[in-house]
Amino acid sequence: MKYIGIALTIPYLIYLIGVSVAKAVDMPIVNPIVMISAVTGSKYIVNPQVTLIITLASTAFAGLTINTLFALGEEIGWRGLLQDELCSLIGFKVTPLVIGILWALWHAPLIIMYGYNYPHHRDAVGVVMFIIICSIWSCILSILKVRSESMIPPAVTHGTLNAIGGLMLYTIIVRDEIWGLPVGILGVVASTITLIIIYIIMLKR
Amino acid sequence: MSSVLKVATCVVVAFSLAYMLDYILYLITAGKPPILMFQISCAIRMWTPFIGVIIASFISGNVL
Repeated sequence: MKYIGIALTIPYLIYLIGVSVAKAVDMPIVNPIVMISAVTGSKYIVNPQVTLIITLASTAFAGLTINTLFALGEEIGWRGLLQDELCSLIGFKVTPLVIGILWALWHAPLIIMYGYNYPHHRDAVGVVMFIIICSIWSCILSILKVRSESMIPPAVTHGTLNAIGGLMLYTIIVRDEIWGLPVGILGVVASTITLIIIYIIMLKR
Repeated sequence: MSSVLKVATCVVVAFSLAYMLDYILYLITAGKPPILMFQISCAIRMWTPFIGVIIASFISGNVL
């Protein structure tokens, strides 16, 4: 249970650090509910602040349930068989990076054909950026798997990241998603800081 | 079966199935899938590494 709690917290920590860094460098920050409403033309019943809180709670619920179920399909492959087998071949330090590269390349057709995550970069730039972010996330998920000795915590983090990604995207206003959250430069910075925190808390003990 | 072969099997199966799914979706929607169809495709796609693990397990004799 402890590791599931930590796993659930990680995406929100990335979000919080990302918003803090954006504020520090003077990037425009808005309530994502207002942005989503403006983009989709949908209306919110209660005020945007309350809607944001409800939405954040619902992302946690989705992250713990349906999203974890689907993320488990990936995690059994990447952090399951691949991590265990690659660790015995190339060691624990390099393994998460190799898995991160494979993980990102596995997403490559979505980026190139559909503009997934990077609608302005349906090219090598989008793929390389996703390799960088997946390598960092892979390190976080690998640490979680090793410490918890279970596939569930990495799947919870993965599922919750997928659930909260839309909110992150609409919180920091950038012209090009390569600079913002969750998969741009800001995402890289926030995820790296989170990785350092997780590393200190979980591996240095 | 060696670790290299297990890893290779899992990776090849996961990549082949995922890329094939993406290509089929691209063909039937001319590159512009409706959101629901794209999400269903992504949900199926997310289980391709698991299928890779199953096939690697069968090949190695370590059936899950």
